Formats: sequence, structure tokens, C-alpha cells
Amino acid sequence: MESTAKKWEEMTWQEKREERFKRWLNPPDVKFVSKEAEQLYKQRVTRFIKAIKLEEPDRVPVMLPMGNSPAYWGGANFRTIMYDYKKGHEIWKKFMEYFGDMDMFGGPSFIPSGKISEAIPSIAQKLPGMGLPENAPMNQFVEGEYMKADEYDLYMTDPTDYNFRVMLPRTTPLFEPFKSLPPMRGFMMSNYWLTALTNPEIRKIFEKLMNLTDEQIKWMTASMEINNYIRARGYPSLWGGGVLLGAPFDHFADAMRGTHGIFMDMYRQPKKLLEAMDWYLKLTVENDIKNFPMTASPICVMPLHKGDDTFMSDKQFAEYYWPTLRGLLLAMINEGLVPLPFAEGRYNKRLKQINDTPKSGVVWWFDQTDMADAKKTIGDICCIVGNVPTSLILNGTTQQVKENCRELIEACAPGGGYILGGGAHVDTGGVENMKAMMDAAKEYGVYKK
Amino acid sequence: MSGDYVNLLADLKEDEVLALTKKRLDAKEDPMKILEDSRKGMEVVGSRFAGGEYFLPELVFSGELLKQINELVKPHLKGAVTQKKIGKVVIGTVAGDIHDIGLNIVDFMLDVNGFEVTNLGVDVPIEKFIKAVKDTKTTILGLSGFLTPAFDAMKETVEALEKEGLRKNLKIMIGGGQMDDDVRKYAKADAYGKDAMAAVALSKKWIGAA
Repeated sequence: MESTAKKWEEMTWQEKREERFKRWLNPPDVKFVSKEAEQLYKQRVTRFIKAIKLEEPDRVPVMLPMGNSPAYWGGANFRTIMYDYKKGHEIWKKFMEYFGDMDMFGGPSFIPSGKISEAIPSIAQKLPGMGLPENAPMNQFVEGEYMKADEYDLYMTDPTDYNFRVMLPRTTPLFEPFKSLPPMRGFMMSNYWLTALTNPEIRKIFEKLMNLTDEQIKWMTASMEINNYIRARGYPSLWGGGVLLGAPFDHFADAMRGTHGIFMDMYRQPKKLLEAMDWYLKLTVENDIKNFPMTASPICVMPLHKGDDTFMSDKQFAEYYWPTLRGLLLAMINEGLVPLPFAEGRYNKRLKQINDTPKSGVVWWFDQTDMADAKKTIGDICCIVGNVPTSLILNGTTQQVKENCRELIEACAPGGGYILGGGAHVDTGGVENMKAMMDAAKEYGVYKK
Repeated sequence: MSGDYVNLLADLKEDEVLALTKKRLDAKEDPMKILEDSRKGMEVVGSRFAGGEYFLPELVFSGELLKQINELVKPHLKGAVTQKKIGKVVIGTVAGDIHDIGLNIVDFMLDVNGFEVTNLGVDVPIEKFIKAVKDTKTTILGLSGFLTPAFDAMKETVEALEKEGLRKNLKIMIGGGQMDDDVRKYAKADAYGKDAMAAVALSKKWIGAA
């Protein structure tokens, strides 16, 4: 942690957050290419910090729903960039120059390495050319009951062991032989490990993994390079927090039990599900949140899936979804982080249920929620982000987009605490309309001194 | 007895409704009567969902109960079960998109409201939609999609149906994730529905049953 008079554990959450904000404003690992770039960077970060703190910045900041649009602008696609990291970077650099002023920008997001994805295919995820058409603009996840209904206790007893010997063999064919490994808790000392590795099938897996590490390094380095390049030119990154967390309910509902499975559990074993979510929350707070390192920014985007208006009732949300999500948000706030939950779908009915967090602690990004209502209901305790519809950004005219932004700004900007954004990321186009979003923020979103 | 049965299913009392199913079968009751009651129970589930009392967990769980009831009843049935349907609807998630939660809810709601539903599943290629429209002679098609790439996939599907000369007598509705009325215009579909109830209302309107 940074050196300050007060010890980290003695600081209030606001003090911890100020430390993280300072680090965000003055990134020690970034060499700005010019004074101007540094100035722009600070101006942009300040804009966000003020909005987060429910204060009025110079103007409404904008989180452009860029997704991987630059790839398509540059004549490439998701799949080409999976294989040609360099090409991706060249395009992103050109795009940055073409676009000009943005409050936030980042490198190709969530585009995995093609070579590695090919070598370790997953049953739980489809990629362009691997289960999806070659020109598909994104990866998609395949739900399944990867964890069986009667395995909650097994998982909670030893999650690492469970993931190694049960989950990985089910979701990732390469690791099928892990089923035959002895329990992980026995891997304590001496050559126990080595004995397990004498199994030729297990040995083959590790040999394969070792052979992929060079590629992994190449991919990681490439991704770091482009993000440093972008920051050095004055653009803060949205994904700076360095941790991707979601609601504990979604942890079980998305990746482990699937939608069908989790709904069965809500009826057949509700206590077990609640116990597992509590357990998972504690584990996450202990392992992932406490003593969280200083990262490029304190913002932690958290995609939320299955708690929206249509998925469950108010009562179910209050019982199954919110308590552990709130617990996670509070733990993050307490560590000086800025949780930025992205509420997919509609949260109109949820607004009245999510208003019990510390003032200015959470930033809510809404997809199709009524923003005027959001401003009214939680605007005095949370900064809100949203929500020009993706359909408008992709297919509307620039005039329509500007008009939509103007309405959003009029409803949400007064008093501060508002970031103009898209309802969700667009993935293949909409570049001129995103320019229109920036124009609208400058035209309609300036705060009068 | 059948009133209780309908309520047990509608109230999602798993153990009780299954026990009663077995009891009725043991008492040599007409299995068709049990199926008719379970249909009524599901209708109640559907209307509670439409009325905002039930949500996805209830809908999915009731489907699970119905599946178990059907499995118990099946061995006792003589011949095929035919139910009178009020109309046909073909639905599917468009090419390149593999999301099906919303699709299955629409399937469920159309089914409990008396429609014969042909659910083509996810990532449905254009040719498969064309074939299904021809084979079923449906007058209603529902296109589902969650992601933004579905905008184009929907547009291409509608255009292909037009080219095949199938568009004239076909009403097309779209829904899901990032869809809205602007996408409807873009894809040249007839209507956008924001939820499964809208899909039912539109279908009923189009067959003249609303």
C-alpha cells in the first residue's frame, strides 16, 4: 500500500478510496508521451472521480460502449484478432487517432488467444470458428448443470479440489484425466505430486500446458503493451480494477448449476443454496477483496445476470440475490474499491431494493432500466451510468443518438453523479454514433460553474 | 379431487402433486383426465406469470413438475394424445446466437395458451426457419436473440423469407435481450414484444383470437 501517515487498516473506506483515486490519477507505471496527454488523462480521471463522488465535474463523463468495434472499423474481426495480436494493436492505435477525444479507452477486451483456445477447447464457451460462425463478433457461454444438485457440500468442503478433479474434467476435455488424480489436500510435501504426474495421461496434460506458456506470455504481454500505450496517450481504462466479480447467485447460476439447476435448487434445497452463497461470499471477501493491491484504477466492473425484473420476484431478489451481492459490494467499498455493477436487462423494480449501500459507494450501470426513475430513486446515493440503446447506436442516425443523449443528460446529470453510457456494449459498428455521444456530452453535459 | 390437483400443481407442491398423480393412476382413473388437469394447472401457472405473481423460477419449476407427471402417466396411455390447439407458431433464436432462456419462456407461455409451438432451438440457420415455415404452414414466426449481432441475423432471416415468397402470409415478431422496436424496423419484422406475454398477445391477435 502507499505510504501514508495512517495505516491502511485504520483508514475509513473513504480514505482508502482517496488513496486509490490518487494512484489512478498519478499512475506510477505510465510514462505519458506528452504533457498534454498527462493533462488530458488527469482531466478525464477527475471527471469520473467527481461523478463517482456525486459531485459535479466540468462536464458529464462518457463511458463509450465500444466493445470490440475498433476491430470492425479496421476491417478485422474478433477471430482475426484472436490469432493476430499485433494486427489488433495496429488497428486500435489507428482507431484511437481517428476517434480523438474519449474519456475512457482500452485495448481489445476479452479477446482470447486463438492458439490457446484451440489447444484447450471448452465445453462451456463457444468462440468464433469454434462452435460459432467464423465471423461471430464475440464469445458466448454455454450453460449447463456442470455442478450436480447434490454436490454443494463437496464443493464447499474443498473448492480447489472440486474444481480440479470434478469441474475441469466436465467443462474442459483436455483435463478429463484429472478425474483420476488423488485428492488435492494430500499434495503437502515431498514427491506426492510427482507420483501423480507419472500417469502418462496426466503427464501429457502438463507437457501440453508447458508448451503453451510461451504463447500465453506473448498474449499477456501484447495485451499489457496496448493498454500501456493507450494510457500513455491520456486515456484511462475502464477495466483497471483487475478483478472480475459478480453476484454470488450468478456464480452458481451461470457457471455451475445453470438457470434450470438453480431454479430447482430454489425449490428443492433453498437452505443449501443460501448456505453456499454465504460461504462463497466469505471466501471471496477473504481471498479476493481483503488487502486488495493498488491497481491501475479502483473501478471493478461486475456484470450481473439473473436478478433482473423478469428473472425473479422482488421477494426472491431480497432473499436470494441481494444479500450476498450487497455483502460483496460493502466489502469492496470497505477496501476503497469502486464496484460498478452492470445490471443487464431491467432493474426498474429493483431500484427501491438496492438503495441500502453507503452514499457514493457504488456506481450502477443500467442496460434497459428507466434512467429518470433511477436518478430519482437511487441518484442521491449512487452514481448511475447508462443507457443509450445498442439498437440506436448501431442503426440510428447521429441526430437520433444525440437527441437520446440530451434526454438522458437532462434527466440524470443535474447535481452530478451521472456518466453517459450505452445500454450494453456494441460489438461491430456504431463508431460515428459513439462520436455523437461524445459530442452530446460536450454540447449538453457541461456543468455551469 | 381434480380441483385440488390443479391447485397443487399451480402452487408447485412437488411431493404432493406427484403422490396424487400416483394415487389417481393406482385408482385406475382415466390418464387423459390427469393430463387435462395438469394442463389446467399449467394454465394457472401461466396466468400467474402473466399477472406478475410468478417469475422464471416458478415457470421453470412447474415445467419440471409437468415433465415428471407426464413420465408417470405415459405408460398408462393408450394411443397418442392429441390436444386441440388454437394456432401454430414457429420460434427460434437466430443464427450466431445461442441464448435460449427467453426463447423457452415464450415457448412455455404460447403452449399454455393453446398454441402448437415448433421450437427450433438456438443458432438457427435461415434455411431451417424457411423449412419450418413451409413444413408447418405457420402464419406466425417468432425470432429470438440476445446479442447485438442478432440484429443482422434477424434482418437476413426476414429477407430470406421474403425471397422465398413466404413473407406475405407470415407475421413475424421479435424479442429478447437487446431487441426493441428500432430493431423491429431494421429487421422489417411486424412486431416487437418485450416479454413472453406480449408474444402471446400478438399471436392471439394475429389468429383473430384476441
